[in-house]
Amino acid sequence: MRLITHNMLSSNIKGVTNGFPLRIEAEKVVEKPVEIDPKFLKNMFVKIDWKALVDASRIMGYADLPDEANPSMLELDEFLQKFHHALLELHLEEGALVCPQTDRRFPVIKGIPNMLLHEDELFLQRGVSHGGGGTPKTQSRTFKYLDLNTSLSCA
Amino acid sequence: MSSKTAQIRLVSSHPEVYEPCDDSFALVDALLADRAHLLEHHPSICMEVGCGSGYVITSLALILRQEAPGVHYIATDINPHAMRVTRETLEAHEVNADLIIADIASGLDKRLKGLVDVMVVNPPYVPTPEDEVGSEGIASAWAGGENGRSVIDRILPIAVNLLSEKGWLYLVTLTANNPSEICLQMRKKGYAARIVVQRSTDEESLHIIKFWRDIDTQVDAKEMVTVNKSAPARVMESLLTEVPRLLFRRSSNSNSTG
Ligand SMILES: C[S@@+](CC[C@H](N)C(=O)[O-])C[C@H]1O[C@@H](n2cnc3c(N)ncnc32)[C@H](O)[C@@H]1O
Repeated sequence: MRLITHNMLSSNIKGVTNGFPLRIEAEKVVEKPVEIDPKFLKNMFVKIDWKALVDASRIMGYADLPDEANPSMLELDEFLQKFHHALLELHLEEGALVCPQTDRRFPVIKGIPNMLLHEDELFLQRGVSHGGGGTPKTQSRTFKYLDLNTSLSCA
Repeated sequence: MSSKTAQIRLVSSHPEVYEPCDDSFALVDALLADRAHLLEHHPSICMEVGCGSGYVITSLALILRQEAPGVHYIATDINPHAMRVTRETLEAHEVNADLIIADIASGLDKRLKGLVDVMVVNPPYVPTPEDEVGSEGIASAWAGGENGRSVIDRILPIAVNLLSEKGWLYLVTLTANNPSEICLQMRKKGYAARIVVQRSTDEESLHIIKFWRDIDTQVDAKEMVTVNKSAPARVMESLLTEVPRLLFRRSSNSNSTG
């Protein structure tokens, strides 16, 4: 899982209002170089939550991103290189993404985060049975489920 | 089959992962037929929901790779085995996609909202008893519940939420799914539709439908609904008169894309 994906994910457990950013628990981080594409980076910059990216990259062992960034910095090669490296070259291979509000862990195994929720974590939103029942048994059920005192605040 | 699609090698498989089939091929052929438009579209983020073996997302990445580098690909599947097979398919073809085990797009609804420029979906669409939907094992790859619509009907609003202003959705449907009713639903949300590929096999008749946001369509559909009580019938009618024409035009060249 690269940090661009981390920047797009949030916890959607029922009752959670502050599900972003997910806290990273890093057990194994690898670097895989890819070609830099300034146009893509400029496109993505506006969509990225900068603080979440900075914090995540530090947990992954990369501390070179500046605390603050603005679009004018995209003209600087040095900044682009750092942004590129943090966003697209650092991979979380083993570890977890942790919901900031409930501490529920979403495991990351062999680089792939598992965002599936269990039946009791879902909003009751549909009459039809769905995915929950079909959640393959192989997925981890070892996390500690915390009681949510929060009331259901969204529809 | 076109030469491009034939280039995809499956290096890995799993008894519980859907093997590329007529529907997968038809979807990739639709993407190939639309290749020139896709390149002009300059997508930043492309996403597949329910990627199975990874055949489709890998094909899409290869189709766009030469002329549109720097596209970000995301693929989800509810089946963890599928993710492993997809990763191996991607690696064998040296393309990158970020993989997430998710129920449709769980966890992505907030931050990916409005950012997806191209979404491709070959959903479980076969009409089955409702309790087979999302059941254990390979059946969940095709089991679609009543009229095959259970999963499709959950995907549509999520797709609308994730698609960007200029976003496109390519969806595989079966005649039994009632594609014109799907088009009508999407029309109410402001999406126009076109059939890109239509293909009949012995068992099923597949339509690959492309949806895109269209201001006129939205106004149109709203007006029809508020002004005229018989609007749905009229919308349907106009769709139905359009569909055979499109089918005709498309079927004459849908197999000649390679
Ligand atoms: C018809 S197969 C298509 C596989 C592949 N895209 C292809 O075209 O060959 C449908 C896929 O959707 C997945 N799927 C079913 N329900 C899903 C859900 N709720 N969320 C995500 N994926 C789902 C299945 O695991 C299966 O891999």
